[in-house]
Order: sequence, then C-alpha cells, then structure tokens
Amino acid sequence: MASTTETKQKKMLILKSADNDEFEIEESVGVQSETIKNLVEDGFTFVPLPNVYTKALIKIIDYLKKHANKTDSNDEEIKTFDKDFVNTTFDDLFELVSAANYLHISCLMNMLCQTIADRIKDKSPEAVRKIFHINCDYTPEEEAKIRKANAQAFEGQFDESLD
Amino acid sequence: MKKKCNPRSGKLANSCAPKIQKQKKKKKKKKKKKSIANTIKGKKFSSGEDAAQKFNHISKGKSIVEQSNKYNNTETEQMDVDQALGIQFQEDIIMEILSRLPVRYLVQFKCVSKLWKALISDPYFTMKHLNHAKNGRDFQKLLIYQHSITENTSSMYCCSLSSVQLVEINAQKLDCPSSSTSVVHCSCNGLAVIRVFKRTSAKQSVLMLWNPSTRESIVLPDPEFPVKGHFCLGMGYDSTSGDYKILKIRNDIDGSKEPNGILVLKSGSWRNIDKHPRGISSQVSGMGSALAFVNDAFHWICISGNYFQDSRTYSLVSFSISNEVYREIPLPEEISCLKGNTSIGVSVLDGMLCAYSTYDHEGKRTFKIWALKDYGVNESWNTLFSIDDRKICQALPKYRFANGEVLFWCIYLQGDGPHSFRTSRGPFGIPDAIQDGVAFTESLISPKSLI
Repeated sequence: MASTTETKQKKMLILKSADNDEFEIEESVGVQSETIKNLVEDGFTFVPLPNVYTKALIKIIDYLKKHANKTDSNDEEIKTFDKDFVNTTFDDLFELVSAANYLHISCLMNMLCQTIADRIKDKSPEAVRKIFHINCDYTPEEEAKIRKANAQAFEGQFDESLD
Repeated sequence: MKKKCNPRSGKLANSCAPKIQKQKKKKKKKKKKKSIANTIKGKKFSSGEDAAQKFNHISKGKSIVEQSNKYNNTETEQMDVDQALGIQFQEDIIMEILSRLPVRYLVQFKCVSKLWKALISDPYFTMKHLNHAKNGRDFQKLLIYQHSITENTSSMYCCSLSSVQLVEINAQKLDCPSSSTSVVHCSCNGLAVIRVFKRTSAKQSVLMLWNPSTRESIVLPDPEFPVKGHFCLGMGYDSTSGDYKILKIRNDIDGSKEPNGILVLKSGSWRNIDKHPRGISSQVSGMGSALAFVNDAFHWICISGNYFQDSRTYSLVSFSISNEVYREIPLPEEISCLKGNTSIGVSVLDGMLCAYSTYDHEGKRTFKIWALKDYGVNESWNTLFSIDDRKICQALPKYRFANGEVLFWCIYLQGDGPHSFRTSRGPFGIPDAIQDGVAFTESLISPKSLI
C-alpha cells in the first residue's frame, strides 16, 4: 500500500495544534494515531487537535515520522531515537503522555508510561508529590496511619531527587 | 471496533478537552471538538482493559462509571491547585503509569494522596496491574522456604526471576503469616496456597491463602477430609463463574481411598469431586508440587497398572475448572515408552502445558521437558529443554526465562550434594538449605476480597 501512495501523489493531512499552529504531514504517518485514523476514515483531511499544544505536537510528529519508516535494518536507529525522545523533564513527559493518550498512539503511550514508572520507582512519596504537582490531602495523622499499616514497604533508602 | 464501547475512554475523551481549554484560557471556539470527542468515544486504548472488564465482577457490582465519578470529585477539588502548573492528569493516565510498578512501590505510593490511594485500591486497577504483571519479566518472583528442624519453624524468602543468574543473593525475607513449619503448595495470580503445620502435632495442618507481595493472608476453610498425607493442590481462576477455586488431589500411591475435593473460595467449604471414570490412581511427583493449571483446567499424571512394574502406563489427566469434566491428553510418545527408574510430572512454563521426566537412557541420567505448544493439538509436543547429569535423582521445572533457559528444583541422591535450584548453567545462586519453592507473578489481589 505504501508503494502505491508513493507512485501516485502522497495523501497529505493538516494537523492543527491547540495554539493554532498548522502542520502538514503524510496521511500514512498520521494514521499511526487511532484518533487521526478515525477522522481520516470519516473523510477528514484537516484535523484540529484542541488538546495538543504545538511544543508536544512537534515532538510527536517527529516520533510518528521516525516510526512510520520502521524497517528491519533501522531497528537500532529507532531505539536510539526513542531513548533520546524520553530523555527529558517530567513536565515534558507529562505533556507528551497526555497528548499520546488523546491521540491514541499506543506504542508511544506504552513507552512514555514505562519511562515515567521507571523514573519514579525509588522516589519517596514526598518527591512523587512534587514531581506530579500533587498537594498532600492527608492530615499528618492519616498519613502516619497508612505508613504504619504498610511499614515494611517503607524500609530502606528513598531517592528524594526530582529529576 | 467502534462498537466496543468503553466507558473509561469515552469519559476521558470528553472530559479532558474542557479542562485543558480552561487552563490555558483559550478564547477561540473549537468547532470540531465535538466530532473528535465523539469519534474517540468507544475506542479502547490499552490492551489491559479487555481483561480488566472481564474481571469487573470482582468490584462487586459497582460500575466503573460510578467509580470514575467518585474520583472526579476528588480531582475537581484538587484541580485549582494544579491548574496553576498547567498539568492535570486524568486518573486514567495515572493508572496507566502506576500499573507498570511493582507492588512494593504501589504500597508506598498509597500515601501520596487520597486520590492515589483510591486508584491503587480499586479492583479495576488491581486487574489492570495483574495484566501488566503477567507479561512483565520484572514481576516474576520465586517464593522459597526453609525449615528449621530444631525450632520447628519456617522462613519464607522471595527472589527476583528477572535475570537468569542471580547477580547477588537478593532473596528478601518475608513476614510469614505463621511462624510454624510451612510448605508452599501452589500459586495463582500472585497468591500462594501454603500449608502450615500446627506445632502440637506434625500430622495436623491448616491451609492459608497468602499474598507475599502485600503480606495479606487468610485461613482457608478446613477440608472435611483430614489435611494429612501426601496430596497436591492447584489453584485457578474460573472465568465462567468468576470464582477462584482450589483443587486437592491425593497422591494415592499408598492405596488410600480418600476422595478428592474442590474449594470454591466464595462458597466457603470444600466438597468432594467425582472419581476419575476409569478409576486410575493419581501420581503427582514431589510432595507439595502443584497441579498444572492452564487453559481453564487442572492437569496431573495418573498411573494405570502396578507402579512397581514396567507394565504401568502413564496418562495425563485434565479436570476442567468450570464444569468439572475429566479428559485425557496423550503424552509425548517418548514418555510413554519410558521404563525403569523414571519420574514423570506436568507443570506450566511460559503459559504452556509441559510434561517432564527424569529417566535413565543409554547409560545416562536425563532430565527432559516437553511442551505442548498448541493446547489441544497433540502433534505439537516438542522438546523444550534437556540436560544430562548422572547425579540428578529427580527434577521439577519451576520457571522458563526469556532466553529459554529453565530454572528447576533438583533433588540429588544422598551424598551428591544438597537439593538446590539450578539451570543448565549451574546453581541459581540461592543458598543451600532451601526446601523448594514456587514461581509466582506479583499482584495486588487481596485474599480477603476473594471469600
């Protein structure tokens, strides 16, 4: 199918970010997103993405382009690309994961969730709150009670860093 | 695919749009928004959700939508604080992230916030997490135990199966539900069935269901028949009725006529099951070894004829968990021909039903495993693993690593070294004096929630 679209004219799509920037991409690249694929199947060529901001969309288009050209020979190259892709701040990862969830790109969603999970593994609950911008809504007594009930899980050293 | 309506995805698509708009104070109206939201509605996102929905009954009738609303309220209260930072995560995404974490971290993260505690404690999340865990090598553990004969106590340890060779002795000591001598019988979805011997008499024992990852345990109902002698247990999930069930099969080499029994956890009592139609006796290798549960059925080896004569024949019997029907699966031809000093058993490795045997052949002692690659296709028996070692008296396979290497419990003849866990490369690195163990997948499932 890829070859027929190449010999003919490539079908193009326009994606519009939440900050109203427009990006033209090949349809075959865009349809890796289930959300975009559904719209394309319904005949849309102009796709507004009210939940995806330009900064995240640029990165995601990069990702889609790279993964659309996946072959047996560039496996290593894609692995390196993916590694660089997730090597960023927590806030960037959160924005990307929200966008990937909205766009329904399951391989990207998997990779981002796994990355975040791996990076919070050894963090203390306090550090996790800061990273996720969560205000603790427990009273000190309530928190002490939970810690006491699960005392064995709180043995050992925590990682208090926020990166 | 569009018709498979998933309430979670639908809600997510609809709810996240207004939130982010509000955050960034966008003035421009998005005309297409409605159409996108509607398109996404009904799309499922993660592979875990199918299974999670399948297990929904465990949430005892509470609908997913109701639960989501519950969290939404908590979330709305918090939103004002978070909005300033421009990051608002739906609980769906938090669940996606947290479902990839081992249980001990989830226990810690319950004290992050009330919302996180509610998410982690939710039966829907428990099933989502289990679904990830089943496919994740990092979630596979070995539960091992050690008896102190002088003090009449047992210690339990847990070690990771994520790498073929233990880099260091990373066995973690667990708080046992009982300090008395205990044996691990079988495991299912992160739960282990253990048998605790009462201090007063070695003959009397109770069965317990224990989640070694959360340390939660319950005492199982007493069987009507005495819990003594040699028997094997298997535990499985009956997806037809949504029940966890435990099957007890007597190892009746000694000619006992005790009936076999099944415990449906929710029913709270054991009942006898029908005898095998051909009346053949059950021989299950190794004291305390588990019945093999795969494809909604328990499996074990039966013997016809005299055990001590070469005229004996082995059969692989299956017992369906939902309708309790016996069937027979032909064993690999090689096994059927085995004579002499032979032990045969069945287990599950990598989700495949496996038959294994330790036998003498052409002057060698061989331990070999055959796997039924496609359940129901008898031609699909294939050799999975084989090792020659004249010292091995008997071996029981426990786990198959990603590279095909197999971890097995090796019983040596007296004088040939202590029994131990090993692979084809040699010892697994667990210290001596361990008394066998069971591989299990970490889970959050609470034993209390199953009765």
